[in-house]
Amino acid sequence: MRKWSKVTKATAITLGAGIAFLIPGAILAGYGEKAGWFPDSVAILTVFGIYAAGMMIGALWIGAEWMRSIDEAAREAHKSAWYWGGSGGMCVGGIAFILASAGPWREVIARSIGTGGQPIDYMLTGAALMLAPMMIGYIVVWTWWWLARMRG
Amino acid sequence: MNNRLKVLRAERDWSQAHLAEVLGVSRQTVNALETGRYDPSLPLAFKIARIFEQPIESIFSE
Repeated sequence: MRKWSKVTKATAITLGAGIAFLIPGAILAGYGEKAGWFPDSVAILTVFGIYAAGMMIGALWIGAEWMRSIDEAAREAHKSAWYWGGSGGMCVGGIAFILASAGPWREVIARSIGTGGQPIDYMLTGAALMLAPMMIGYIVVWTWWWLARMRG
Repeated sequence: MNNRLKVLRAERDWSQAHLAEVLGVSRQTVNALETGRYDPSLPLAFKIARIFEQPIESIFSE
């Protein structure tokens, strides 16, 4: 029988445990709330909260196993991408942060975004606007590092 | 940093893949080391020195 790598094992356990927890948990929470076992929304909020935290802990575990499985040059590529790509992307997001915080751009941005959304939509957009440039920066720097050193 | 990795490997008639396996790194890493595009960590440099049975300074130079 083929031996599973630690990365595959961590991924399977994270996803499997996530599904095994979420489906029965959500059903139980929904049923329990209707039956009056739990106060309003507490159970479903708890289930989804634990699920989200569990998935991210699992993601860290998968990342740790994967980092251990690659060699030092590949690790260096990711360290470089994390620092330079992540920092560069954060600076791009920082421009939006500064402009939206105060000054003449604040009104321009507010007008272009519109006022029809819910606060949660704006929060989600803000989070995405900080994450996306960092992820793009990471990919760009990693690709540059790899092609500059590891071709051939 | 310069190194004599390619010469030492050729003297032993080893392939990049074989050296990579012995060192526990990828073949691309061996290639990057040989072409001077990647400088090894101190533990990897010691491992290389041990494998070729030579002092580090005779393999790597500034």
